Order: sequence, then C-alpha cells, then structure tokens
Amino acid sequence: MPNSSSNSQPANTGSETASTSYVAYPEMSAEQEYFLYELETTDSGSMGLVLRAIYDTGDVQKFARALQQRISHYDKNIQKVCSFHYQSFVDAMQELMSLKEQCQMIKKDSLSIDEEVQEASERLCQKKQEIVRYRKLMKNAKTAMDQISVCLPVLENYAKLQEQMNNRKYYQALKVLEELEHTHLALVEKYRFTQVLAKSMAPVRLEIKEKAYSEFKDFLENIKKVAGRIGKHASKCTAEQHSFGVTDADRAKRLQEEARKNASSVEIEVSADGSIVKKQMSPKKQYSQETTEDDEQLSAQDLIDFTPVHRCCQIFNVLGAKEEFEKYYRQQREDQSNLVIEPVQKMNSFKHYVEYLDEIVGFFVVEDHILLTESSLANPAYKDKLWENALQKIRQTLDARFGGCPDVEMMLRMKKVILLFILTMKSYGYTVAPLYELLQNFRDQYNEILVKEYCAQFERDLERDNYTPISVNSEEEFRTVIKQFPFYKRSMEQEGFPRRFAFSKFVISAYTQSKQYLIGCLKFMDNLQLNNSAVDDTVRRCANVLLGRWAGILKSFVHKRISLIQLVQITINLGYLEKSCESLGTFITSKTSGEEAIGTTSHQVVLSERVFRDARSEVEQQIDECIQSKVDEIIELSNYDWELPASSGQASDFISDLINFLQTTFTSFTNLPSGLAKHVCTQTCKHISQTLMDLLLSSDTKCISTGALDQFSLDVMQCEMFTSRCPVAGVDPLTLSMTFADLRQLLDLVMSADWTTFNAEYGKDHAKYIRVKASTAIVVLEKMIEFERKSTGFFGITKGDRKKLLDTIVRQLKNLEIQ
Amino acid sequence: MAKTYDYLFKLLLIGDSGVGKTCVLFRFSDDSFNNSFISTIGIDFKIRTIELDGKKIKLQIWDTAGQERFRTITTAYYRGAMGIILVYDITNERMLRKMLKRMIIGNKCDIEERREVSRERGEQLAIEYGTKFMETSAKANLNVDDAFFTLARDIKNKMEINEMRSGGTNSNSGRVNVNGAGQKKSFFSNWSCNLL
Repeated sequence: MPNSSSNSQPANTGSETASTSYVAYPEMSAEQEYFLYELETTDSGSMGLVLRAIYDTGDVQKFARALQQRISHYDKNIQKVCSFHYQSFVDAMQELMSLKEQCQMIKKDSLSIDEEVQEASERLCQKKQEIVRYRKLMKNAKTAMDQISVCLPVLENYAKLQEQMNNRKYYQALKVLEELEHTHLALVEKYRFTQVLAKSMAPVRLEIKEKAYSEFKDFLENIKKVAGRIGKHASKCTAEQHSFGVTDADRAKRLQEEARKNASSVEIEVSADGSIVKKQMSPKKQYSQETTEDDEQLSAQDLIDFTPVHRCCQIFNVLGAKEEFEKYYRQQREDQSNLVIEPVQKMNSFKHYVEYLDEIVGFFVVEDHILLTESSLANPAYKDKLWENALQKIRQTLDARFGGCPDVEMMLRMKKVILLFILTMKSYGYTVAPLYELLQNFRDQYNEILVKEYCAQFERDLERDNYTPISVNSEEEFRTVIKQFPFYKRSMEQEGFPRRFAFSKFVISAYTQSKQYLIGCLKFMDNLQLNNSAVDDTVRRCANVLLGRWAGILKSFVHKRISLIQLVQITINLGYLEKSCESLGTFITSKTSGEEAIGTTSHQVVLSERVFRDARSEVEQQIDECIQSKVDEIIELSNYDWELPASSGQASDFISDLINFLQTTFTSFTNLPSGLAKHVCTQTCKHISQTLMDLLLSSDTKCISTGALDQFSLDVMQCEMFTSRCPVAGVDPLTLSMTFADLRQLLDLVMSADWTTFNAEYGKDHAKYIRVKASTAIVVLEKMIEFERKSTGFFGITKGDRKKLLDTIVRQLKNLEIQ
Repeated sequence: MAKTYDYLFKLLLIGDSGVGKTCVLFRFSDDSFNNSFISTIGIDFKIRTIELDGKKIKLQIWDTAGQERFRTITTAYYRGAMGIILVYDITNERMLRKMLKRMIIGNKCDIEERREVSRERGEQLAIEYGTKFMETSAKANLNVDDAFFTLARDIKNKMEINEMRSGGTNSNSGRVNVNGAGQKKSFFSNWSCNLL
C-alpha cells in the first residue's frame, strides 16, 4: 500500500490535474496540467506529439509524478462510486432471480400449448388434403361430362348415317354426314375414336356417289325399258288429238257411241213383227272397253319414277359435284340417244319401224320432262344438240331403208307413222322441219313408185287388151260400162242390143287405174296439213306426170310390131282417154275440195289433154307405116318379068292381091275415124304410086320390053280403078286419082312415044306431061333402048334410023334436064 | 330383075272365130305367141320364105277373120288360094260341127284335159275329105312348122308334076288347089291336101 500512499499523493495531484473540478495540487505546475489534459483529450495519434513535447521540456519526472497523482486520484473516485452503487446492485440481482423463475414457468406453458396446437393442426391438414382431392375429382368429372355430351351427337349421327346408308336414303345420309363433319366432329377431333370415325366416314361420300350413279343407271335402264311405251302412248295421244288414222266413218261411229252412252243404255228396235222392243245393252262390254282405255291413259310420269334423277341431283348438289353429275348425265343420255337412234340391224317389218320411232319419241319425251323439272341438268342447247343428232340419224336411216322400197302400202303406212312422229315431237316443242323434208322425199318416192306401178299396169293392159270394141248385150252390162267410163254417145241409149262402144276395155281399165292412182296420191297427202288448193295442185301435177308417162309408154308401145287392129283401136281409145281428162280433173276437185267446190276452175295446174296428142299422131303415123309395110310386102312379090314379050292381058296377081287386100281392109275397119281413114287411104295410094315408080326406075332393071311396060301399065290401071271406086267414104276420088298421075303421065309418054309434045310443052303450066321430069323419062327410055338393042342385036337386024331417032330423043331430053 | 324366089304359094287359114288361126300364123311367121285374144278384122297376111329341096318358096299365108260378119269378104280369098288349112279347136266340138256345115273341117283345142274332139275323129274327117291331118299347138310350138312344110311340099310336088306334063314352061299357069285342114293351139292339127 505504500505505493498507494505514495500514489495517493500523486493521485491527489493527479486528480487535481485530471479535472479542474478536482482539487488542484499545489506542487503541480500548470504545464503538467496541460499535458495531461492534452493526453486525455487528444486521440492516440497526437499522443506522439504530446509525448515529444513532454520530452522536449525535459521535466519527464515531474510529469511522471503528475501522472501518478492523477492515477491515484481516479482510483479514489472509482472506489467511491462502487461503494455507492453496491446495494442497488444486490437488489437488482435479487429481482433478476425471481424473473428467471417466472420466465421458466412461461416457457413451460408455451411448450404445452405448442404441443396441443401441433396435434390439432395435423388433423386439419389431413382434412384439407382430402378436400383438395375431392375438389379435383369433381372438376374432372365435370369436364368429362362436358366432353361426352359433345361426343354423343357424333355417335348418334354416325348411327343415323349408317342406318340411312343401309336404307339407301343417300340424300339424308349426306346431310347427316355434312352436319357430322362440320358441326360435331370438328369439336372433338382429338379423340382417337373420332379419328377412327372420321376415317371410316371418308369413303362414305364416294360410296354415296357410286350408289347414286348406280341408282341413276338403274333409272336410265328403266326409262330405256319404258321409252317405247311412253313413245307409243305419246304417239297415240297425238293421233287422237289430230284424229289420226280415224276415218270420218269411225269418227261418226264414235260420236254415236258416245251419244248412246250418254243417253241411255236402252236401245229401241223395231222387231221383226213390227212391235217396238227395248233392247238392253250389255253394259259389261262397255266397261271392259273403258278399263282398257284407262289403262292406256297412263302418262310418262306414271310410267317412270323420276325421283332418282332428282335425288341424284340433290346428292350431287350437296356433294358439290353438280357439274360432274351434269356431265355424266349428258354423256349417259347422249350414249342412250345414240343407242336409240341406231336402227336395229334387221328392221324388216313395219312393226320394227313403229317401235324404233316410238323409242325415240319416248326418249325425247323423257328428256323433255327432265328438262322441265330439272332445268339445270338438261339445257335447251344440249337438248337441241341431241335432237339434231337424232334427226340426222333418223333421216339417214329412213332414207336408206326406204330408198328402194317398192311397196306402196308400206310407204303409205310409214308416212303415217312418220307424220305421227313429227306431230308428236312438234307437240313437245322440237324442231321438225327436216322431217318434213324427209316426208317430201318419201312423197316423191311414193309417187314415183305409184307412177311406175301404174305405168306397169298400163303396159300390161296394153299387152292384154283384146283391141275389140266393147259390146254389151243387156241394159245391165251397158250401165256397168258407163258407170266405169261415162263417155258415150247419147244416141246409144236408143240402140238395140248388142250395143257397141267405140273403145275397148283398155280405156276403162286405164281410166279406172288413173283414178286409183290419184286416190293413191291423195292418200299420201292425208294429214300432211296442206290446204285444199295445194293438195289439188299437187294431185294435178301427179296426174300430169302419170298421163305424160302413159303417153310415152303408148308411143314406144306402138313402135313394137303390133297389128293394124291394135293401132286403130289405140287411136280410138286415145280419143276417149283425152276426153276423160276433163272428168279426171273434176274427180280431183271432188276429192280435194269436197262437193261444194265443184264447178270452180281456179286451179293453178291444169290437166293437159295435150299429152296424148303426140302419142296419137305417132299412132297414126304407125298406122300409115303398118299398111305401107303390108303394101311393100305384097309388092315385093311382084316378080316382074321386064322382058315380057307381051302382056298377059290381065293385071298381075300381086296387084290384084294388093287391091283386094286394101279394099278388104278399108271396108273392114269400119271403126276407123273417117278423117284418119281418108288420110291413110291417100297416104297408101301415094306410097303405092311411089313404090311402083321406084320399081320402074330401079337401076336393077337394065332393060324393059314394051310388053312388060304394057303389063305394068295394066297394073297401074288397077290402082287407078281402085282410087276411082272411092274405097273410103268421103274421100275425093279426084284427089285420090291424082296420086297415080305422075306414073300415068310417064307411062303414057313412054308408051305413046309422044316426045314431041313433051319437048314442046316441057316446063309449061298446062303441059300434057307436066308431072313427068325429063330425068325420069330418060331413065325409062334408056331401059327401052337397051332392050331394043339387045333384042335387035340378038336377031341381027339393025335399024339405023330408029337408033338415030332414039339417040336424038335422048339428047333432047338431056338438054331439058339441064334446063 | 332377079327372082327372089322359085315358087310363091298362097295359103289360106280358115276356121271359126277364136280357134287360133292368127296364133298359128304368128308362130309360123314370127315364132312368137301372144296370150291375149285379138280377133282379126277382115283379112291379114304374113309372108315367110322356106327352102324345100333347094328351092326357095315364098309362102304368102292369108289369115281370115273367123267372125261371121267377115264371111263374105273372106270367102272371096278361097279362089286364089293354092292350099287351105282348116283350123279347129280340139276343146270345142261346136266349132267342129260348124266347120262341117261349111263343108270344111277345122277344129281347135286348148289342153288335153279339155279335149272334146278326139284325134281319131279328126283323122277320120281328114280321110273323108282326102286331106292330111295334124294336131298342133301354137302355144307350145308343136307341129306348126311341120304343118306348113308338109302342105308346101305337097303343093310343090303336084306343081312339078303339072309342069312336067305341060312342058314345064310356066309355073304360074299351073293352078293348084289344096285343101289343108290344119289344127291349132295345143296339140291338134288337122290338115288335108287335095289336088284339084
């Protein structure tokens, strides 16, 4: 403690230095004080400086003592503070101890609470987790339900689709499919089953399309089957509408029947004993008729179910392949059309043609119907194309088949069928103009056939005629003839039997034939819808054609070697045929215009009576030639002996025969028209004269004796006598005699040797031998000189003068000839 | 002028209407046949040249109308005829009888089935009249040529005998008359030759 004492001192001082508040120690200087202060307040850094400063002053003892004092000072202060606070420290400690106890209690409590809480929250957690799980479950279930509700319609529709497919309701199926794909399936694409479904549905459209096509094909086949019936029916309707193939009689009958039906089925009849009897009509028969009629009233729509077409249209519409179907349809129909218009190989009967045309009608009726109901399928242009095609083919077919048809009946029936076809097609609005042309061809051909037929008949009649005027032995026969050919002289009615007509039976048959021919021509024009005057003109033209041909036939017929009897009868017949032309005209008018128009003569075409005129003159020519050839034949037998010493004194045999023959002929042919007879007689005489002249002048005869000349003259005389006997009534004997004048003058000249007169008068108007030409005279004279020369030479006698004379005459004649 | 024939024989066909004279003649002259019956008016003739023993003979055959109304005309021709052929129809007895009345025989017949006149009857008649007999058919061309040739030969023979007797200078002066009964159509010709 010494230090402490010793230190207390310093300490005192120190405390004094350390704090001003503290008691300053008197030994301690201010300088120490300062240093301590500086040390206490400054920071450690400046301690160095302070320390230096202490050391600089050199009084380090002093300062260590100051410092000692200061330290002791502080110690004393510390002791004081501690003693002062000791009690409170103990109190504090005591309080801390109780706090510690309380804290431990609290800790214990909280631990138990914690435990309790831990326990409770664990259950909660479990519940919570359960809740979460169920919540999740519920959500899933809901989602699933939603999805299933979306999927269900798909399945339902799919089932429906399958069912409809099975029931062949393709259109509905297609609709369902559409809905399925666009509405339902789009929503549930992700599922595997829908993918499978989608996959299985893909070919359905194709199937439907195929089915539709096949159904359509069935339909096409169907219509093909019934086309004929439809056509037949359509034709029938047209026929009824146009009263076709129904004669007036039939029509009247039908009207009557209807009237009877309407009135009552009781018919009143006068029975044999005169009482009136009611007759019950049997109604059964009528009913049965009606039923059959009803059967026939079926129309195209009834015969064909058109729904497949419409269905196909709808289906393809939905499929979006409308155009494809249209194309297909047209192609198919076109094929069908080609098939229909292609004629069957062996169309040899009329029935086949009717069927052929009916099929075509049927086809186009169906087409028309389809066009009306399904305008998108068949447009007019397409239809027209088909029709044109068909038209062409029909024309070709019919032209080809009937080009050489020789059967008039067939032609007539075909005409009716074609006409019916035309009318039917027209009523369906098809253009039929070309068919009328076809018909026109038919008509021309028909007429040609008719003309040929009747020409052949005419020729047969010509061949077979007996060329004998018709003779009737009773009034009845007379009436029969004039009924067939109403041309005769009224005076005939007063004649006794047998009465003779001038014409032969050929005239009657020709007249009848011409009427039949005209009726034939008219028949073809039935229902052609020509007006009366057109028909009339056409028939007249036809008539002229026939008459012209007949005239031609006659002309060539008379050129065959036929007898005089035939020729004569033909001229007479021709006269009557000419007369009958007028009657034919009336006949035509009565047929074409009906009774009331008879008498009006405003026809454009006139029946030309002239047609026979040529033929007639031809026949007359032939008559001339026929007689002349007979004359020639007889004259050929003449067998003149030109060196006959003296004439026999009588005419040659041949000339008697000739004259007899002519005489007989002219007296026998009492029916030869007198004009013609005169003409023929004159021509014949001229011919005889010419032939005899030729005989005399013939260069074959070199010499002629006087005797032969006498004989010849004698023969000519026979002819002259014949002419003067007036062999034909009404002929002027003078004119006839003139036919032999040439010959007679020549003979006279030569026989009388009157050369002087001949020379003197030659060329003068009133010359005696005016008809003798010098040249012919020379020929005969030279022949006579030749004979004289031969005979005198033979007998060795020369007559010089005679020869000179003759030479002079010849010279003179030659001069005359030159003049 | 050179003669175109050696002999000219004028023959006459007679017989009732419709027995077929014209047909026989047509068969002989033109070798043709026409079925249709056209009765001859007045008289007609045909000429055919035949050759017999190297001689050219012209046969001028006169065909008469059989109808009663031409009788006067046709009988005028009998005189100049050198041979006459009587034609009858074998199918028609009436025609034969008619001919008998006129002292000439002729018959015509058509087909064997319709025969009414037997061949024997025809022959007998020919013997009665001293003529030759033949059955002919113009249609079937049976014996027609034969008939004419036989007649022509007989006339020629008689004529030549005549010529020799009279010194044989002029053939035309010898008058030969022959009655020929020829038969027509189908199968029957009756024919006689008689020198007067």
